[in-house]
Amino acid sequence: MSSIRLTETANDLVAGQGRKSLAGNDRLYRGVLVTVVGLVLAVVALFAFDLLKQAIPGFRLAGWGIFGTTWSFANGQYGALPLVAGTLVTTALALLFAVPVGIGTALAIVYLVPQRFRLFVSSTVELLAAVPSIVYGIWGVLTMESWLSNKAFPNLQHWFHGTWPFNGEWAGQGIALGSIVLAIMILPIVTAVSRDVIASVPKDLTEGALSLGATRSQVIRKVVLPTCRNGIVGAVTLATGRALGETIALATLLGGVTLRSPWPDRLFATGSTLSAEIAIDIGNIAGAPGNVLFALAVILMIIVGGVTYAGRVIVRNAQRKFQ
Amino acid sequence: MTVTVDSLHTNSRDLVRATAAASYKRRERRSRVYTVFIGLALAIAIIPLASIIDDLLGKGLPFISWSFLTKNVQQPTFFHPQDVGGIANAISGSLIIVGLAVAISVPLAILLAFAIVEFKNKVMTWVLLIVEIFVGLPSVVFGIFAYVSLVLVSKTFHAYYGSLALCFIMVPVSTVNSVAALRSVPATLTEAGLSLGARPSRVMLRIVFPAALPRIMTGIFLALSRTVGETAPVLFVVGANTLVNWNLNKQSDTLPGTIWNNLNQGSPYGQLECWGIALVLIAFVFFFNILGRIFLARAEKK
Repeated sequence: MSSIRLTETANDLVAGQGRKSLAGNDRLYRGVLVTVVGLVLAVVALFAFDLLKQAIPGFRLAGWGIFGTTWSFANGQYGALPLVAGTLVTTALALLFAVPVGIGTALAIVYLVPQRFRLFVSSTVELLAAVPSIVYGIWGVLTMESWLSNKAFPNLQHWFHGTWPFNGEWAGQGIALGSIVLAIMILPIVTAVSRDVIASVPKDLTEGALSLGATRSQVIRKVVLPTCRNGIVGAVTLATGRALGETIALATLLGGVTLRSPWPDRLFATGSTLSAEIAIDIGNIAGAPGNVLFALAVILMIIVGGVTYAGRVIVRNAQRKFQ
Repeated sequence: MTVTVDSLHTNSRDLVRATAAASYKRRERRSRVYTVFIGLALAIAIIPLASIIDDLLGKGLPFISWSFLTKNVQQPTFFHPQDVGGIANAISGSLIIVGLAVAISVPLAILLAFAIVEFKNKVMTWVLLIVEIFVGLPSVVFGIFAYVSLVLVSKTFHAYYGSLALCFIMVPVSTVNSVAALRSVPATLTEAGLSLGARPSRVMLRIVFPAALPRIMTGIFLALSRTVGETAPVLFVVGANTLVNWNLNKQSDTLPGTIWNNLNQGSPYGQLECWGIALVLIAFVFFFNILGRIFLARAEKK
């Protein structure tokens, strides 16, 4: 009994001393780290506070009008719904193209492209994913715009006889142009991230399936894609976030919200997005109207946050299923 | 006719073989359709991306010259409408703005990552969550925030405003990458260090940090390659400057900002010049990106 107590005290003594000396000598280190965390949290708090301080008068100024259908910053009409619609429609159209093509391309790089070219192709895609979005904007304005106006638009009108969604007139800029540029911009992101995930599927899994007589398509469908589900959802979430928040490439490509056709209800309509509109109108900020742009920023952040959260929930549910 | 055991055996084996062959043929045919679709995706992806690369090299390369890189922008004269000078002012502006952003962000991000890895409590999980949220925020939000809280308050433009705005992008991305790098160091190393009686600070600075350094560098360079090309946050706050400028207190041009202006002012030659500027911008982006990948390759070799 006594011996046990003795060892206990000895242990306590050693441990206590150790802890004490640790705390004493690490005070500077811990102090610096705590200061940095405090500093960062202070900046974050300032950012959040300022955002709300600016946005709340904006929401108040716009009032219920924020649910209106007319956005005309110069004339004090702050209906944000066309901008929300423009953001969602361009992003959805871009995803519609970029997700299947991007995942297909990633599969092609891993399973189809000959070994010799694989490194070249995959590093090209990685670098394209790093290209600043304004470069895609240049391509949209200088190359895609004329192709769309001179070739694609007349042909599509001719083939489909102006049925929806190819009806109406084309102002040279609009939803179609913005969505295409957005799609091409996020395509390398989807491809690069999916390729990473697909290439990291363990060889035992794919080779095991092949040795059981599965064909390549069966391996991809039943082994590779289910294994990569989380990573691919992550890739799509990342791309969606980028597409929703894209400003510069879209600000010159969408043509703006007009009174005649506020809604992005056809491919060749003009429109605008939340982030593009912020960039366009920021030059005309004076006092109160600037707050309305902050209101737009808050709406945008809510949408982006929702998408990110949805992506996390999908991943978490998938993980739960595997456990 | 008597059916011998042997013949039954061969018959059933044939049957199995035939069925398997038929099944395989059917599945193989389907597989080929799949392969065609995947190849088609690759082809569809290549066309626009090749068009961009073609434009960049075909239209951008002719602009690249010594004077394009070293001369300031200038007003074209009537007799030389294409003599718009170079982009040295924009290059210098981008370099100092991004340089200051790096000088602020890198130490901050690394220390913040230390704290997130070191302190295992509820507050730090919240901090990490906040950092991750900031990674996903659209950059235009930081642009308008910087514009209203810096430019509108002080009524002036400064190059360092751009750096401050860029920190909002650079710090979160570098922090998230650094945390991942520090956590990729095996826990056994940390435990060995602590069990030898080393202080946590010593274990972190002498063991974990050096082991994670290549990956941290990768994360920082990838963050940097994203930061260089960011347009929206700097565009509104740095003003304009037609001269080479190394003073962070003055106004400044940037590469993305110059592209944006040229694109919107609509002179055909200025628009075409965008390809040249884009090529210079991409050279910077790729330089940092490839540097980051070299560090990554080195980390994986270890």
